[in-house]
Amino acid sequence: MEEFYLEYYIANKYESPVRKANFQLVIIPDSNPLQRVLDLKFSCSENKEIHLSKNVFGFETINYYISNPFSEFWFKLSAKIQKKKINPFYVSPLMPNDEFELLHSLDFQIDNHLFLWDTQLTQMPPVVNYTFPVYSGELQLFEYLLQLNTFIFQLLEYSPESTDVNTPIEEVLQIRKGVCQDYAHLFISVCRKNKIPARYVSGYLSQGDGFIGTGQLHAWVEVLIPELGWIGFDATNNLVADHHYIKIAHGTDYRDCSPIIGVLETTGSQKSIHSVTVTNQ
Amino acid sequence: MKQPANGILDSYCLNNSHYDEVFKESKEPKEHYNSIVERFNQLSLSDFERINNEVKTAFFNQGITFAVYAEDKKPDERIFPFDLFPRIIPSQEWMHLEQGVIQRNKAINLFLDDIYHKKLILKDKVVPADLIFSSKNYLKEMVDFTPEGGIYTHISGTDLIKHADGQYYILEDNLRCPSGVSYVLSNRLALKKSLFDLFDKLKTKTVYQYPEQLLEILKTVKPKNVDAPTIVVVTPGMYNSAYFEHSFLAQKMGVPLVEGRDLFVEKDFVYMKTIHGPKRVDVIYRRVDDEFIDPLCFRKDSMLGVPGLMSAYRAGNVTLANAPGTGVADDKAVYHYVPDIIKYYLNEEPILNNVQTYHCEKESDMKYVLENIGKLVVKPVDESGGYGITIGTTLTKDQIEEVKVRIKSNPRKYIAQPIMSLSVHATFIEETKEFEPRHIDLRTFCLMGKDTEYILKGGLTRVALKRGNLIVNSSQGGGSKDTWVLG
Repeated sequence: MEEFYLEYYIANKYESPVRKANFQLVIIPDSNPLQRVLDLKFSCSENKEIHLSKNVFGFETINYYISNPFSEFWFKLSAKIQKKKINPFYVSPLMPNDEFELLHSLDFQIDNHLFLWDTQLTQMPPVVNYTFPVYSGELQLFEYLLQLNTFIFQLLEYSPESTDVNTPIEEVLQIRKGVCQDYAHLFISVCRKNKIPARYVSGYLSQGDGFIGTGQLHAWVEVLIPELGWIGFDATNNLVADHHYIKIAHGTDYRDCSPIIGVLETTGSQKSIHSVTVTNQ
Repeated sequence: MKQPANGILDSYCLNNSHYDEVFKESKEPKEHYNSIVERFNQLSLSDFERINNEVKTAFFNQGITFAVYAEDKKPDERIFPFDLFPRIIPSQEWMHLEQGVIQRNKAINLFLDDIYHKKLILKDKVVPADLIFSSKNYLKEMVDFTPEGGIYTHISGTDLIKHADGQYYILEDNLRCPSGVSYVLSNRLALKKSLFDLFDKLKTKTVYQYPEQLLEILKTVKPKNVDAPTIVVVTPGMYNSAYFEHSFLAQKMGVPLVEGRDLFVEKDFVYMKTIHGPKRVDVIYRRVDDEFIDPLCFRKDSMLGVPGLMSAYRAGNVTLANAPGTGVADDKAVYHYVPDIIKYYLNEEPILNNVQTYHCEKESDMKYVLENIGKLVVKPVDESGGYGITIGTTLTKDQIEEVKVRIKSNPRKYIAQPIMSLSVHATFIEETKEFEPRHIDLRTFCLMGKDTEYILKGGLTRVALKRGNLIVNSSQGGGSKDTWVLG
């Protein structure tokens, strides 16, 4: 077991006062067999009782309805998380061919349809200049995914602000640059093309210096490997997810996991800053 | 039968290439039309025109209008053209229609429940999984969620036509809050004033209970733990083409008519702003499309919705009618599977016919289509809005060859249907001051609640006013007739 302390902070400033707003935040660490939330605290510019509800995939969201005018909104979450240590190396009890057969059975595909059919953000353009590794059942699925992870890691160059949250894969492949969302969407897209269920994951990463993802929210991908379950792959860092990956939520793509969505009645622009710190002292 | 000299229907010209609703080939009226033809023939042309004008004025005064949209123009407010000659459906014929429409809508509701839960019909390969999961109307927000009472399509409008063979065929299903019912009630009100004696004589079924029945249906799906639900109608606003209907239904049901901005969601409950403070809302008859109902969940730029509505809905604190995500079942591609859907869930033969459809991916169908292109309408399965459709009778020899090549290159992409001929009905044409045959269709209205259903005994008969026109939509110059179902 390893314990982590994390802090998420976001502050939005508005040029002209906001008359009415709804905010939805997806930033609470998930509780699952690999991680436990030991302590959770919120503070907010609005002195209001917090309301939690569950989103489509069952993850807790923080909701605010504010009907009195304001020109600043900030929110802080701090949490203590216990992570189970895992060795991120997997061997399936199934033969490669049996894994392949199972993945191609109609019932399996229907049961996992949400993570097999493309969304707008995971759409591969009709013409692609790169030959992505093809899953043919010769390798074990896990081995194939390691190859794919490395392929995408090498294909793209990490470059902050080269893309935004709505950048389609087509554009990412043209500029060959991106941030963690883009690595994740591309990974998901190749998986779904190969009939492998893959879902987008948002979370916190504590890897120390030299790894991408510290200091902000991170994104990676979980893939359903028969008999093993959903295994995390981080193409941005060419790693398989271990206990340093603290999951918030998963969904079909980024839009299911946006850390904050606001619907505001206001005119003029806004400035937004956010920060994330994760420590294991 | 004996008719007075110079009856206003005497000059009616039968067109034997279409099924005539009113007259036999001998030009005698069909039995159920006897008394109305007799009645009209007693009127002089000027009497008839006077009644016609009275009715028009009544419509105008009631504000029964619709808006026609054109790019870069203000919406054009028009009176919905109404024809005084009612369409009459005999009791036996109606029973058959009613059973067929209820059967179809029950099956569709079961289908929606299945594709959002166990998906057995997909696993049994009756309907292709890809057709459903790649549809933009299939909503992940509805997966594994059960709306109150298991009802998805509280209100559905099933469109039918009568073909040259005298049989009814389903043209399409409308499962996303179909409109038109307010015209049915207004038409009746207008016509009853001028023809009340015939009503009684023919024992015409009333349509007036519709708003009351709609209210009852909405009450049956109230959230649990609510005794006396607050029900509202949500409209996109006064610029919507069906705004008249939204306000009409709200008024007749005696419930508030609101816009998205009049509601808000706090802690997963929906409230309406009132002068006495917030009031909780339990059931929403929404006339706003799925993608606009909640900017937190669907289109972020929607000004018509209520942020957080889907979360409140999924928490079981409010009921939406119709349920979001029903559009997946009324798309063109799914239409062809509805007869199979009926057999699958109800273990019954479909009572009403679908238009016969040939799937070119099937070898035998493909052979038939290639040999009979001149008699068929060929449609690509994945296009909408009429794009890529060819009508056999309008094609030259070269064009027929082109279509054949296109089908052969990608058989999976094409379906073909016989060219359906809509029945015709005597209709008063103002330009010629005569009754002429015009094509008609019929929209029926079916309501479904928890353990209860209701079908409006009548419907909206739409009529194509332009000669030879097959398009009956009001935006395309169509009008409507009152529809009498006999007792």
